[in-house]
Amino acid sequence: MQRRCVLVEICPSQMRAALVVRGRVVASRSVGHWLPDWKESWPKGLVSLAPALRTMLSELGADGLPATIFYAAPHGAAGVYSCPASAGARGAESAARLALADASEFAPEANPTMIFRLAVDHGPRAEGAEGPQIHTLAATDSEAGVRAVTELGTECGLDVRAVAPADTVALASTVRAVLAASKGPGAAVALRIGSWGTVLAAAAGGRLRFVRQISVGTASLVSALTGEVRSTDGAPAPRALDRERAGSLLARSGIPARGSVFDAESGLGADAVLPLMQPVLQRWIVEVRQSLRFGLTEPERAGAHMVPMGPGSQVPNLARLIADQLGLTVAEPDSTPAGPPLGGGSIEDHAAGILGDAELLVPSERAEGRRLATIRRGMWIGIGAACALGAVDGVSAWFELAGARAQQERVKASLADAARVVDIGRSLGDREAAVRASRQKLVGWMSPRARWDALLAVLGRETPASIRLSRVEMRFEGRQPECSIRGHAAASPGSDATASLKSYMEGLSASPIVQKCTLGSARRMQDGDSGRTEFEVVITLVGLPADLDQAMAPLAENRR
Amino acid sequence: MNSATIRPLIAQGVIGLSVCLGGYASVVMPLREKLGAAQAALAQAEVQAQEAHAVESSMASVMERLSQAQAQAEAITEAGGLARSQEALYASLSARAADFGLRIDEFTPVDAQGGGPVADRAAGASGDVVLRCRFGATGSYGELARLLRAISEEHGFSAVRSVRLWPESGSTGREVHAEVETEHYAVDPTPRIAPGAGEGHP
Repeated sequence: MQRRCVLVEICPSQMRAALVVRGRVVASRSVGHWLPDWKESWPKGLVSLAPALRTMLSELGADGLPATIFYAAPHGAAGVYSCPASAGARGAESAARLALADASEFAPEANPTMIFRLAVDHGPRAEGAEGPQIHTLAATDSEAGVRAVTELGTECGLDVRAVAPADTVALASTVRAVLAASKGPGAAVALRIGSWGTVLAAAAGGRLRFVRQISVGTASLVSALTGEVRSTDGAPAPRALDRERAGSLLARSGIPARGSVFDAESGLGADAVLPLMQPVLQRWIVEVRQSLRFGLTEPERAGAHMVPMGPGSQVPNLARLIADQLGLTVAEPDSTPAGPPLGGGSIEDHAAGILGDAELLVPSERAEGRRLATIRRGMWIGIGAACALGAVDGVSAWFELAGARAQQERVKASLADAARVVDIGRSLGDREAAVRASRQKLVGWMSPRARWDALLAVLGRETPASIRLSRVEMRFEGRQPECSIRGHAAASPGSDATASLKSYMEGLSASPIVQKCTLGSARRMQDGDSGRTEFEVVITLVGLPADLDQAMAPLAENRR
Repeated sequence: MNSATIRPLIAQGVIGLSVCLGGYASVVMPLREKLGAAQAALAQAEVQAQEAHAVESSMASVMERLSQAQAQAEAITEAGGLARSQEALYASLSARAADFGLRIDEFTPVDAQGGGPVADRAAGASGDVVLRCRFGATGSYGELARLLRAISEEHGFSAVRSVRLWPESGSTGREVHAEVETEHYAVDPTPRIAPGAGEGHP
């Protein structure tokens, strides 16, 4: 609740403004009026109330303060709707919405609506009674009506936060009172008598049994008193009572006893006014009796006591008359001085009981503005949270970076000492790799190698005297070492040249360094008396791998 | 809520979100990137430290291997010495031939394709050398065989690529003339330092 706020109450007969500071009414102003065409002129007729409201607010010094306005809503609907507690809070809310839709003249979902969980039964279950129930206060009014009331307050300089039908206050305070009274022995019946209506509630054992609104109030009695008053002998009274005088007489004399004087000043006796009051009182009693008959069991009715509430409870003999007719005992009447229709419960009760908990009616634009504000606030909170998270992440990264750099510096410092060692290690790797690469390159170049010297030795050993070599060519054909030899074989006594050549080639082939020996060409020649065979033989040698260590060994020996 | 009220709300939300994202992208993300780089550098430095520790613990064997590699490199360089100097090669061949009683008639470095004189055909930036030369010699089979063996086994990285023999005209029949073609190789066994290598090393 706001530290300083204003409560305004508007009804056809009166308007009241109260300044509330820290939940307590510190000052109030009220002005009476009579607007019989309240319903017909709604909501345009509200404009006529602006000057009086502005004056009251000015006197209270309440300009610009947050305000909540309670008003008699001629087209609105309000009620307390009960639902089994097993349905849960959402189920009870849905049930209340459905019931409200039935009770109102328009669709609540398209107009300002308030749903407020008023009470939940906690007491022991009575025999034959229903299980615990959730009692939901629901109210709605047309968008036009809510906007008109809000605009009235705004034009008068108030910061109107919410509005609510006055019935909601009456219902809420009655239910709370009857539940509080029912905790004692016996059933409790709360009768809140207002100017324009009555709220009847009954409870037993801490469980609310029913709540009902009756469209009879003290204004009905006042209206009745303004009718034609006849003297006891049936002759018309000198003059009829006006509404203001009738109201003040009712407040002072209440329901008079037969034979007593109702108005000593005019000499009006009880016998003259009681017939006027009788239909209203009769209706009151009948409505209450019927409600109690259907709402309470016989044993509960027998021990029930009535709690009179509201401004009507201050009318002398009124509550007692009703209680006596119903056979109920009467608890101490509400001690609150007679006030506006809200009265009975103090306006502090309203502030604490209604304003502190319930979401009241607000025009759709304002509701939308609130939703937007909520969304915007959530959005900025989200953005703020995102910024905060980003900042935390950034700071965390900054610290981690600083730590990593410090550790890097430490490792670098230790590496500086070990740099020479690392260089040696690298140098070793590089040198070994280079030597390996060099050896591979040399092996590639020098392989295969041929033992030409050994071939010469073989040729020297295997070549017989009958064979003379004219040319020897040793070379590589591709990567294959070959030797081409040319010569001639002379025929000798006992053997011909061909046999000598064959034998020669077999001898060459037997050498381990010779892979194969092929005859390239052979031609018999006549040389004087003797013949000879000229030939060309190709010897393919075994290719040997290069032996680098052998190549380097003599040099190493020389070094040594 | 109608579009007139929801539109500015969306705009505000988009602006707020953009501010958040922009702030994150401009402030936090660069920090995160720097952090990633620093952590990578740290990991690399730690690997280097481990390497250094491993090398340090086996320093004796490392030094021994290093000296072996050094000795091998020197031996390879020395064995390729004749390929780098035609004069030294000629002198060595002549001396060895003389030892075996042979006479070197001519000595000609030749191109790999058998063309004109050439110093090397594989030399380049790598420092590798292949020297091919041809010489003629006259002597007996045995002397020539010993010379060929000596060329293969005592002249470093040398190989006899071809030999052509024919009897020396006017000789007693034991002497032959040989035309020998040899190749002599040299490589540079020192490690190549790649451009940029070693940068950033402590």
